[in-house]
Amino acid sequence: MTDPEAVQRALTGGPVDENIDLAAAIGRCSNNWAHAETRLAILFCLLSKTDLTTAGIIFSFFKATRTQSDVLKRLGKISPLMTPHKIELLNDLMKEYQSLADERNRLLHNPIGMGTELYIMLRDKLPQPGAIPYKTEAISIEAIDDLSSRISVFNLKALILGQSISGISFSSGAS
Amino acid sequence: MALPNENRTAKTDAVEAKIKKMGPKDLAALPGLDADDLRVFGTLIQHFCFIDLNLRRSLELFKLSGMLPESARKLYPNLPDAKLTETLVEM
Repeated sequence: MTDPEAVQRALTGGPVDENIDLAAAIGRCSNNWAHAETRLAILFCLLSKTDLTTAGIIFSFFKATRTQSDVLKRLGKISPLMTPHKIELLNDLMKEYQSLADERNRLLHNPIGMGTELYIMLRDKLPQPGAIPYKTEAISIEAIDDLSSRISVFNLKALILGQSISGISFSSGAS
Repeated sequence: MALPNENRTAKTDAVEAKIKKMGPKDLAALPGLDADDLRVFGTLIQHFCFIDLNLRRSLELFKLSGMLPESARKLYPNLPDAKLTETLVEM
């Protein structure tokens, strides 16, 4: 016989259904990350000397963070628009991107539950047969907002580097 | 879990058509996202995370019942995301 409570649990999205601040914090982080990827696509456009539409299409095929970073660093080395200082800035930016991507992936790819405190269920790298392959770790809205803020700062740095490479100042938009 | 296919509707097509006609100034003048928009994103993301969790649960049950196909048994318990849905569809 079907357990109605189990069905009800399976139909919910966890605490985000009741905690709108948590849902908004996750949404904000995800949205800030979309801006980060756009900033990198713009850098790719500048360094590869293609138009933005073409660059956007090509760059969208680089799914892995590591690939995106490697491509930009390699292009940075050969671009006549780059100076040693800008190459250093780009390399630092890519290190930061990789670190933020790891945190972002942990947050956006794993379910969040609520006991006495919020917790996130992280996929076990060495799952035990027969056990649900997740372990839990505490999480808070403040920690998610902190990550969102650091992504915003990254976006600003990427914008400044883009302007420095192109020599053109453009609006920061909504990010 | 792999990204779902795009869910196009008449409304999204209409929005896309409108945006394509807008110049940079009009685009820049569009309002930013508000808390309700972000809440929808966050809720959707978490629902997908729970779908993934429940698919993983199903996999464990099929394993315990000895019902996993040979191709999945070889990879179990480290079935990659792309292979997870493929395996469950196969069953």
